[in-house]
Amino acid sequence: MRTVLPKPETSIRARHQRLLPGLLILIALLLFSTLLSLAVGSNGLPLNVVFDALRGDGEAEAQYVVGDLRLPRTVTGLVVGAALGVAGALMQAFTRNPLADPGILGVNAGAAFAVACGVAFLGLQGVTSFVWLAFLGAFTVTVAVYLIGSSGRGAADPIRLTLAGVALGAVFSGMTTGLTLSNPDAFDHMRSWNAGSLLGRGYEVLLPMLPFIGLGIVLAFFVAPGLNALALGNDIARSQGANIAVIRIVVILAVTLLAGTSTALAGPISFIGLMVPHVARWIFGLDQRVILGVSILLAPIIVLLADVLGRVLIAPAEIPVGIVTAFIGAPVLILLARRRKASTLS
Amino acid sequence: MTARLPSPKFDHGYRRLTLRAGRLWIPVRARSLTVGLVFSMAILLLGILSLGLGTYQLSPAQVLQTFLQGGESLDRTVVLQWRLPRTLAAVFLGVLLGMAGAVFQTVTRNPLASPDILGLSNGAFTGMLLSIVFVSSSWPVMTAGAVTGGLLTALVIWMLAQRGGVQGFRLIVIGIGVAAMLASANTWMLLEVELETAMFASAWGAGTLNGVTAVPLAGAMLSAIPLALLLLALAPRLRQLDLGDDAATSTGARPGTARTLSLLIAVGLVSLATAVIGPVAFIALAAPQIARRVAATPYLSLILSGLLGGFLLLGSDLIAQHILPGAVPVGVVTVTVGGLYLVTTIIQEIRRRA
Amino acid sequence: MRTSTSHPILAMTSASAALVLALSGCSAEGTEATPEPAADSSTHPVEHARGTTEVPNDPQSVVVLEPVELDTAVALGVTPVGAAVASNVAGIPEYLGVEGVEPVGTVPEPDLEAIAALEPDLILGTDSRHSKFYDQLESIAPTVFMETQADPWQENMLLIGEALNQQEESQQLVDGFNERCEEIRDEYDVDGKTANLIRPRDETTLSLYGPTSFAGGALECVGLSIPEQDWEDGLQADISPENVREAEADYVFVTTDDVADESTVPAAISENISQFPSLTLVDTSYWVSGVGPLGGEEVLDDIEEFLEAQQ
Repeated sequence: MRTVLPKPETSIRARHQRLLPGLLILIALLLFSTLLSLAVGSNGLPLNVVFDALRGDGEAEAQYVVGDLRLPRTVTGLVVGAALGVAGALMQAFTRNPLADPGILGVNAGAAFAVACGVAFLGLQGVTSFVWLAFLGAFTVTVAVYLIGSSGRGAADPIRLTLAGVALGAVFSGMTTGLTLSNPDAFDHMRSWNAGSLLGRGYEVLLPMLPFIGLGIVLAFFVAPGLNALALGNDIARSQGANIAVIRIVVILAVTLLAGTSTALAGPISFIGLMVPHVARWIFGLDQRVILGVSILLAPIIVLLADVLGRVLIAPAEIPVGIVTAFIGAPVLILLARRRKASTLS
Repeated sequence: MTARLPSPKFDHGYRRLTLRAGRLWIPVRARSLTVGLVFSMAILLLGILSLGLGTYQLSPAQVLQTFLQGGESLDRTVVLQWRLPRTLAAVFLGVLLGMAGAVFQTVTRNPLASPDILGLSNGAFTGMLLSIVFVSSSWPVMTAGAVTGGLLTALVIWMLAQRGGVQGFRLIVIGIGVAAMLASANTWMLLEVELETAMFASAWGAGTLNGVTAVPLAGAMLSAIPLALLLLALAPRLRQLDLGDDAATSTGARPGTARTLSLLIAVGLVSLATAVIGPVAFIALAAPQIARRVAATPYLSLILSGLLGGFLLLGSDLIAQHILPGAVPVGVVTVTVGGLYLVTTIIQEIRRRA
Repeated sequence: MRTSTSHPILAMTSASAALVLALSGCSAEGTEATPEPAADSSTHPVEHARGTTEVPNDPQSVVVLEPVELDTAVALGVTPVGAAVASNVAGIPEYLGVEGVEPVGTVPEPDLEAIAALEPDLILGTDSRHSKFYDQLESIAPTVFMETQADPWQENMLLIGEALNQQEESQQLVDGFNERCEEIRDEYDVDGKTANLIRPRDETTLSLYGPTSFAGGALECVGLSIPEQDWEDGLQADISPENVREAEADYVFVTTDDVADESTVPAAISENISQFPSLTLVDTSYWVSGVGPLGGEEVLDDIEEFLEAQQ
């Protein structure tokens, strides 16, 4: 909140004026990064070949690269990016902590543990077989975090939930480490899964996950006005008619659905959930509905750009996207923090 | 004839003893002294036990014999050359971690502050991986890389956070950003090296007492002892910091200097411990809080935190070696048990408030 | 605030006493005698990575800490009493066909006490991995270290043969391997044919193995040539599935844990199968991990079988 109140009309009008062109720019950027993701990769196919392949003509190699590899990974990137962006925005609003990340509810730790168990005890090998197991793990740990953080009155207090998330996350990550260090096969699979990747997640796992993500996004927009009220403090929010308990539960459910499915699909992709809402808030202000809308557009842009960067940096090999996102996101965050006017919320 | 007024007896609210040695005297809380002695005895007992356990079993009596009279030659080799460095490392490095944790939590006034947060352990791991990839996987090179990595990370974070002084929030944000980049770099390097190398590095990255030998331990101890003594000298000023900067300044303590100096020393102690056994989580976090509760002191006691840290690390190593199957790194036990400790703390606190 | 202040101290003391008692229950009486040093009066000196060591002429109980040492020892007819394994789960590799070898920890982290309990008279290790254990191992039994497992395996074989006092036999194994390569090359007319060894790593990576790697070396020994890539030390090169065409060759070998399971062929290859007319699955446990004479023989067996089927 600003300490010096400017004239209300100019600040709100300024933000509204920024909003429409901002959204248009973001949509354009989103289209651009989608096209980039289809056109660019470690295999340097010329553009006309790519277009032919998209139309269904063209040589077999281009058809395979564009149709079987780049198209699914682009779709996965869009979906996972949107989910992470919204989940991050929800977490930051809910905890009133601009450094909250959807992973603090233990989603990543639970998914990782489930995958490690799957490899070690069930002999699972392929990524698609991990997806449902990871989803189950993420969901279970989040429920446990909720139960621990809510025992007693004052259900779902954000601070306690965060602590419970850190604590349970530590327990599960300790067990995962212990498990993988005694089983080289599990270790090998986990070190790949930990890097986070958009490849190899075919439509047969992507499509069933879409309803969960869709539901999560709907819930997010449904609860956004309540989160706006909550930002003013619990008492003011209640006086405005917000039902805090309901808001909290809906938020947790939405975050679990969104972060859980995206981690189950693509593995842990670092930093998107933390950084994108932060940037959205910086440019467009504090209205949660706007932040959510911007995050839904901005996060996939960053994920796709990171994925493309990972494809070209060490061609003919690739760097997994989950690793590149930290190197894109962290410098932005550090730059933001070094601004003179850096304050806690904007 | 001079009359001597009787010295007034104050009631401090707790039992107080005075330890005298000639002209020097130190006031000590009675309960703290008892707790300290109990911790020390526990460490001693656990230590003797740890020297006897293993594939090559020895009874505590035989262990004591190797110290006193010599015993069988293989017994001496096993106890003195193989197990003693490991046990001593667990105790002493646990002490360092406990003390460093107490400093972090006192200076930041946050019971959840811990050296892990600032990304130091990530940086140490990065340094270690880089030295494996580019130099060699011999022990001195790895530890040099780890220490350099940790200190460089702290330096980079500090410098990035400098913008007309260091603001707490900015420091945390930059710490998170740097830690995230380092964590990603580590994930990448783990993918690129051979599987065995990656597993070996990960075992170190979890914190392990495997393969601790006398020379690096001795080096760490020699470097740590003057630092620890300096920290103990700063301890009274740290306690005044607890009251808040204004109160501290009014009593003559210089909060800025004391804070910076003790933080630097704490970082140094953690780096030394990390250099020998890798980044072990949660000892620095849990030991000060548990020690404070057991001794019922209103502040975090450096010595008690240290002693309990030593006990916890030794106990965790015993669990990792003898109760869990396979060669599990001690860090896995500390992380898992530490997490459970946090969970129970949270539940207890909720029950207390509800 | 706490109502009772004595409980925590009591709790701490009883907890530590309980822990001590519980762990004491695990400790039995210690074993008595120190193991006797080898009674052989005749030893021979072996020059190795850590100097020169007097090694018994007829070692009876050998402990090996490196896969190539295990393989070579078994090939020379010496069954070690203990060996460090690559994985506690997999244990001693099956292709070796030996029994009764006690696992003594993992290759990077051998279990010193388990080694001591076996009372060996000779220990073989690797300096690049086990250098910090050398003194402790020396105190158990004479210890010979090879420089590094990355050295050409046939050179290491000769050192191991020397340590086991079977220099000529190990030389014969090396020669025998190379002769067999020649025979295969002549019999199956492989000149000018290319081959690739692919190890699927994960969704984003396929690893190709180069001429200096163990199996890659065997392929080239037989006369096949591996197409040029940007090798890392000549050992391996990673490619993304987008570039799976770069893995094309006349003969393509794909490693897997289960040779009978066709589904372990990575999607990148099976969806472009028309580009890989001659494809076969081979076992990772010796093509990648089975460095040594016996592993080498198994690899040559597979190559020969494959070439036979191509005719």
